Amino acid sequence: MAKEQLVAKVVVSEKPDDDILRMVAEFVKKRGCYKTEYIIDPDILGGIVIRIGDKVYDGSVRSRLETIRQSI
Amino acid sequence: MFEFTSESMLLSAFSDMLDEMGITWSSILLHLIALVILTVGLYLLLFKPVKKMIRERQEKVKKIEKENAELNEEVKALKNSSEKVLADAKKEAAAIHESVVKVANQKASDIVGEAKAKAKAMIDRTETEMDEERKKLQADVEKQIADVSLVVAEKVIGRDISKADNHRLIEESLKEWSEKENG
Repeated sequence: MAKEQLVAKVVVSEKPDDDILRMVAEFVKKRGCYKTEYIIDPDILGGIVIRIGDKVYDGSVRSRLETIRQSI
Repeated sequence: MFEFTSESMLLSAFSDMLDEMGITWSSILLHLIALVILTVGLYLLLFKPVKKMIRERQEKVKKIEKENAELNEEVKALKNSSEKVLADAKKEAAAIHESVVKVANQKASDIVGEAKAKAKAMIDRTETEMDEERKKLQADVEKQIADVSLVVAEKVIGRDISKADNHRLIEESLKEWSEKENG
C-alpha cells in the first residue's frame, strides 16, 4: 500500500480542538500518512490512540490505567 | 532205794491208770508210729507245698518289688524327663514370647513410623495446598483490589478530567512518541 493511501485512525474521548487537530496532522504526516479519520470514544477516558497501518500509538487514559493494573 | 521204789510205784500207778483207761504200751507205740507217719506225711504233703508256695509268693513279692522299684525309677526318670521337657518348653515359650514381643514392637514401631510419615506428608501437602490457596486468594484479593481501584479511578478520572487536562495528555503523548522515534 502506498503511503498516500494510508489512513490514520485517531481515537479521542471528545471532539478535538484545532490545536490538537494540527498537532495530530503534523504527527501522522511525518509518518507518511496524509488522511486522518477521527473516532470519538468516551471509553478511553482521555488521551489519544493513533493507528497507522500496523503501528498503534496508545496514549489513552484507559491504557495507562491498564498498565497500572498490570503492574499491581 | 526209796526213790527207786517211789519211781516204780509211780510207774506202776501210771500203768494201772493206763490199763484202766484201756491204753496199752503197744497202742502207745502204734500211736507214736502213726504220729511220726502223720508228721512225715504232713511234712511231705502239706508243709513242703506250703513252704514252696510261700517261697514262690516271696519271689513273686520280690519280683513285684523289683518291678515296683523299676517302675519307680522309670517314673522318676519320666518325671525328670517331663521336668526337663517342661523347663525346655518354658524356655522355648519365653523365647517365643520374647520374639513375639520383639516382632510386635518392631511392627508397632513400623506402623507408628509409617503413620508419622503419612501424617507428615499429609501435613506437608495440606500446608502446600493452604499456601497455594493463600497465594491464590491473595492474588485474587489483590486483583479485585486493583480492579476496584481502577474502576474507581476510571469513574473519578472520567468525571474529573478536564478539557485542558485532556489537551495536555494528548500533547505530551505526541511529543513523547516523536522524541522516542527521533532518538
